[in-house]
Amino acid sequence: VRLALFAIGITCALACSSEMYIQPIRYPGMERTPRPSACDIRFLAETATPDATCEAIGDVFVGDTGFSTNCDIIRVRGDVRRNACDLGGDTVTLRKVPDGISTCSQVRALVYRCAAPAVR
Amino acid sequence: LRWRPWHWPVRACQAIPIAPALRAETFCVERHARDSRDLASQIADSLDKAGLKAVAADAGGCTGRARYRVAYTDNWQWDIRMYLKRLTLEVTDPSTGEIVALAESYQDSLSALGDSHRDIIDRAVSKLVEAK
Repeated sequence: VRLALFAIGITCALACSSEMYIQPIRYPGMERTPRPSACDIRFLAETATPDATCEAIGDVFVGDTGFSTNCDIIRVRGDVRRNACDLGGDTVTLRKVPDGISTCSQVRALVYRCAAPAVR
Repeated sequence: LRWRPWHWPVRACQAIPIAPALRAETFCVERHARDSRDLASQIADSLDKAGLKAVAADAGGCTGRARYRVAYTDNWQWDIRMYLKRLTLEVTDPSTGEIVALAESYQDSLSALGDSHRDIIDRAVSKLVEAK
């Protein structure tokens, strides 16, 4: 019984402590004026290459530590957008990070600031 | 955000739907190299049934065949049987690389009981084409 309770306790501790985490990184020397957090961001496919006027200013990782819920791709995109705006970016390429266990969509987003609209 | 016991079983399907103005366009579902179940054809068929003009093509075969490209990722898991745990559909404009619509269907093993992968595809597609 003690062992069962211990196992239940550990499971609860692991499960209940799970949460999403967001890690924005600003590249050195790429300080840009933050944009309003509801700013427009262009989301490009992972395989798309932004044009030459775009420079990578940072990246944003959105992941989770376990069995988080309410962390579907739409919400994750919203988190990426907010953080990309804070970094001063206007364009993002999204790369999904495969995870066989997590219930969440996990992504790494490269954040760009473009002089002109980002095209391939 | 935190896990609560009453959240299980988990099933979710979310989408940024295809804008109504784009629905008359043509779509090409690009098969990825590791797709042994030919999901591309099934997604194209499902899109077709939903009223869009869609075709499937092998990797790289969509160029020039349709106005928009549909990419997908499928994550499978084993739990007594293989089931489709997560399906993501991404509609992009090949001329700009911009993602114009996307849908994601997630289900855990219990939620996926009784569902075929075609059911999951249809669920994601119906979200993708639903009116805003």
